[in-house]
Amino acid sequence: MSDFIVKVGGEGGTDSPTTAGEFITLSAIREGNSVFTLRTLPAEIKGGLATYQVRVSSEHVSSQGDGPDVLMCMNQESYDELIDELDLEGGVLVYDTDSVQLAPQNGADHRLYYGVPMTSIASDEVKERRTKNMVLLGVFSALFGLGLDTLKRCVEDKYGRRGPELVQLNHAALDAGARFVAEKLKKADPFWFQPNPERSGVERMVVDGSDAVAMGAAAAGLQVYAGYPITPASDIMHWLAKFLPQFGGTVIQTEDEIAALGCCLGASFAGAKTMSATSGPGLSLMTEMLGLGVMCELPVVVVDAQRGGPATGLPTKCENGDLNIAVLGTHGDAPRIVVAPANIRDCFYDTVGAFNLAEKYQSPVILLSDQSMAMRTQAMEPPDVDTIQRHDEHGSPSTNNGTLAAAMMDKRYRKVQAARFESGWSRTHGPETAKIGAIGWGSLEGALAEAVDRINANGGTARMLHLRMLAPLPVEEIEAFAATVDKVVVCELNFSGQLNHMIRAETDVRSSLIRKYDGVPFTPRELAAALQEELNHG
Amino acid sequence: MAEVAQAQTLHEAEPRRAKDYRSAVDPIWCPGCGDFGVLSAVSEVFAERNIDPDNVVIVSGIGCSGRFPAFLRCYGFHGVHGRALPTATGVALANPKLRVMVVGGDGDGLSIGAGHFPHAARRNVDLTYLLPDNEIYGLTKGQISPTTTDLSLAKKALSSPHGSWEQPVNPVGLALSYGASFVARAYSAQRKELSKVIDEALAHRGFSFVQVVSPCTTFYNSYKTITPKVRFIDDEHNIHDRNGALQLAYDRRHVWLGVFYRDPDRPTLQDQFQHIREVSAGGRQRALNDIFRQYT
Repeated sequence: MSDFIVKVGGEGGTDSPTTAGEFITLSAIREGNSVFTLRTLPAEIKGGLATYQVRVSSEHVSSQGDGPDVLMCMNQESYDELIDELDLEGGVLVYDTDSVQLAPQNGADHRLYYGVPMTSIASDEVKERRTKNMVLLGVFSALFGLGLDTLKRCVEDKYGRRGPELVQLNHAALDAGARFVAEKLKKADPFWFQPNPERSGVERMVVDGSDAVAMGAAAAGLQVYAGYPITPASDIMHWLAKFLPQFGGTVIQTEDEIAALGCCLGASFAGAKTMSATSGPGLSLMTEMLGLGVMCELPVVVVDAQRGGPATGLPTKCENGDLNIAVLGTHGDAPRIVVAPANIRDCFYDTVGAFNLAEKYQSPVILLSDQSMAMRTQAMEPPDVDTIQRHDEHGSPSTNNGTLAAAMMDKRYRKVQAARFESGWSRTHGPETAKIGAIGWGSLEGALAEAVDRINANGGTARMLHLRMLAPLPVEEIEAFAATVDKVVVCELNFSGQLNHMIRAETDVRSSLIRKYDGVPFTPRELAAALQEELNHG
Repeated sequence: MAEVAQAQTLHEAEPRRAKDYRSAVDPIWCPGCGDFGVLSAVSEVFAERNIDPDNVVIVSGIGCSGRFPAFLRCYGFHGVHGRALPTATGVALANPKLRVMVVGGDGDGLSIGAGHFPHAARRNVDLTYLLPDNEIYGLTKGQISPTTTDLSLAKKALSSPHGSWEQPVNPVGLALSYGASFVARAYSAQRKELSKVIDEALAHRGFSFVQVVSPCTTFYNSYKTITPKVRFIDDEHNIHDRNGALQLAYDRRHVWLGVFYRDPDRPTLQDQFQHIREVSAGGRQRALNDIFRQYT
């Protein structure tokens, strides 16, 4: 089995490290590997440091893993910024000797360095400076065993339409990079791809969370989408704007998020399946409309790709801090359904599920995604749309009829509470009983599962419950899970422990909290250490 | 049961009469309120055009005039304050065959909801926007509104005990500037002209805006100051000349009534969306599979 993490860094736009990373991902999938990518974008609108991290494994992977095992630096900035992420014991650096000046190394450094004159190979040998990322890919192929032929076919598939010259040029650059390794470098690291022909072609789609949500909405029969641009949710609108007309649907970019949800409610009132996608600030603006949707019992799906808050906050960073507003936001009592996908496959199927819940319960459904899930890619099997299940009650100004108002409130709560017995909105992982039980929600599932595995592999016992429906809270299920463990910890990407509060308020479980709120997702290592700490001192 | 029986009569009775469009709910408006005139005019025009109430959706904001849908027998959506236009846009997009009418006052549409007016106008959503303008907040009992022109007429103006220093906005001027394809003004006391203007607005394909001067007898009784200023737009005005229309809109000495501007040829938002729709012949599955392939 092979399982390692590669990170490529360089100048966004000129070095195009992202393109290089995407070709590694696509080729690795074609050779039967499972992938999990993490992209960071520069804060600059154009240029700046761009990085692309991909974990490639011959078996299924469900998290981004810990730090990079192989770092590839295309310019000085990427080396300066990223070198400390590389493990001092056995990490591998591949760098462009034409543009990277290595810092003095101290005695504790047991990393391996491969220097390659990528810029001059591209400029002098291939005669095209812009093929530097292809030279890097050739080097990568020869050093770590990713098939050169597979890479070449990927280049043909992606660039073939733009003419044979472009394909030949890129092929030449791939060859030049590989040739340099064969002639000048001696491999001294253990990282080597193992193609897995059995899995080849199974998880053959590479999709990010935004596109997966948009595809799920199209598959569910979305007819009217209204939205306002906001990072990191806009990609959902972009996809739908391009493709939804093929499905007979309409996409409108409204003047603000209030109008967006207003438009959705109007369309829902007129019988259409509707959705809007936004991030925290937009959800804040939508809250009055959300109450209207609950009161009028109108089906609508609202996607919140959570980012760091409050206010404008950290638009390009990750936080799971919108659970409170999703579950409780708006004045008055307004019960609604809140679900949270935990991986890219979920992003597709849970969006379909959210539309079905909205129709079945005639209620707004909020789907909580987040920045990391919106922008990372994972491989998945192409969904079989035909097998997806799709589901296809007069108001005058109130007199002072208090009894009627109470009866309507009773009905709305009764109705939505029934949704907590819907099956399939949670997953457990680990042994049947354990000393410690972790409860998670949202994008951290994969990292938490790996952390649980590591605890169990190191002599401890741990299991986990991952919730994908947060409102109504599956009280019975949480209490049953708590009965199988000595101690319950809730793991969350926010400061206050919003799910932990809900669990302590609504169940008999006295859980404690593991939290992170620096804008970056948990790694398995961090979660394993925190769980171990709870085991040791709990 | 009485409700159902009446509804059936409405379907079967041809031709329909104005009162057939009125619901069993009685307006709570004060005696003399201009909105009674607007309600009567709308139901008369509906009857004249023998409009099928099953195909009409009235979306309203919050305020005295926001209660409009409850008093008419057709589909109605009484939403939240200031957001009638985006809600109505959603209705219109979901089912382009529906006749969509928005009713909301000066506070609803020009204060809290002012951000939606330009966009509905520039998109040319095929709907009719009636703005009964009483220059005051009536439902909340007498605060100044964005169109209040004469504070001395305000009976309480509790929020402005020391006066008001804000310039009023000109609803017709705004609609013209925002690019509305049909802009008109009517007066609740001029019933014949009111019905004529509403009729023309309903006939227009695209975003039709009608400011209806509709005085509030309780908090801002402006009948006496408006009536002498009333003039009717005649054939001398070129209805396709936006600049000429703006001059009439900003005439301080007169309150011009009638249609200021009309552009019947501009495509509606619904038309534009229909134009880009190319539904995949192979159905949803084929379309999705073609898209899925791009991800491999």
